[in-house]
Amino acid sequence: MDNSANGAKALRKENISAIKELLQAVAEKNVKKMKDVANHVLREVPVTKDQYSIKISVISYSLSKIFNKDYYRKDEMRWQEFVIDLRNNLRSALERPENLELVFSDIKRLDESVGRFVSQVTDKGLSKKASTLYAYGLSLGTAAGLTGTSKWDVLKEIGQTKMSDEGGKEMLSLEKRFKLARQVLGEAGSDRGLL
Amino acid sequence: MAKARSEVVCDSSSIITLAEVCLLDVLSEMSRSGVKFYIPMGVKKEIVDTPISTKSFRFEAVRISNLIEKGVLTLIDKENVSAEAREIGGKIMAVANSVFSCEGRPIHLIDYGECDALGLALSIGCETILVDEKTTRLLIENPDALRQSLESRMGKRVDVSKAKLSELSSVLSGLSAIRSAEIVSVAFEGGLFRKVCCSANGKDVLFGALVAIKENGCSISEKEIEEYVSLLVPA
Repeated sequence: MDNSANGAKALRKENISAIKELLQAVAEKNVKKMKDVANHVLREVPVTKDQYSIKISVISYSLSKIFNKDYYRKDEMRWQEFVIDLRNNLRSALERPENLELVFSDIKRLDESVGRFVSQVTDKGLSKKASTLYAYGLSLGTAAGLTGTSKWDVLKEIGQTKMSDEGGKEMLSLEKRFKLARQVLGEAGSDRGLL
Repeated sequence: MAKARSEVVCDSSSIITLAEVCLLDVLSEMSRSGVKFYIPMGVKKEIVDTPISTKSFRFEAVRISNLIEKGVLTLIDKENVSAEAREIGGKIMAVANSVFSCEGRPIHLIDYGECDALGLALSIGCETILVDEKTTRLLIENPDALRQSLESRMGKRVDVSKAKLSELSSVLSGLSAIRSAEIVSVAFEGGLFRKVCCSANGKDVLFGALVAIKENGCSISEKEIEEYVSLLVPA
């Protein structure tokens, strides 16, 4: 059985339905649905490593932030233009996935127009999604590599989450790990009063 | 042949965390006391070469670069050693990334940087790896926790290749992992924080330092922070 071929076909279908859900969420101004799309579309990425899934997730996350902030809508005309371009480009991405880049451009232009640093919301989205992939169990390097972010950005993002508090994963007790650290780091320092 | 203790191979995650909370000096102090901290070329790329070209992390990269120049972090770039380390790291990566699969497709767990550090540790006979990143640590200590995490997040069954898992466990069996949390705690116990926090309450210093590293990516739980404070600053 050709698993890769089947996987690619299934994934394409998933991405199409994710974009359709996102279009619906935009029409309804439904922030929760945008967040749901952002999380759901990422679920197979550990297996597929699909860049389009990551892009759709980052776009959905970014849009959930944008639709949640009043200051993006202060200039009504600019906001309407943004929404029209966004919907057109999302629809076109159903046929031509590379057009997702046009959606990123729409978001960046909107971000710049309200005086924010270029691509702030999408950069945050990338490190956010990398931290989600890290929470799945992928390594920091793999999560950063898949999303095109740096380990530095992802570690900062991880630090703002509760994922280190999810219990039951540490195999070594704190006492044992500390004892090991003392043996390795402490012996050399004992004659200089380090310990 | 196993080398003497007091040697640690560093993954980039812990150095980044310590740099972000301005605690790199702790490594300098420990190095002066005889602890050897090694980094492979792949880690140097992640902690110096790449961030030095960014706006946000350039200053930290400069400070880390300074540690390499001073010999606090020993860069292993000798061709024979680094070639062997890369080869071992490559094998670890190939095996680790074929342990778990979902619907017949392998799950790519770890990448070059992490494998470089593991490969270097094994090639020079160093038993301890400094790594804040939890996936590498769980691969060494508790791979099944990774399977459970993947299954619950992906909502699908994750299969394990017992043969690959056994091969991986056999390769990594001699390694132990510590985190920047242990660096901070040993430094605190050894009095290295007295210089900078002479009049401060010890509990505040240790608690504050551990929370700072947690908030910069070290995989330590709030419960563990409380445990360290109770252990090292008894009421």
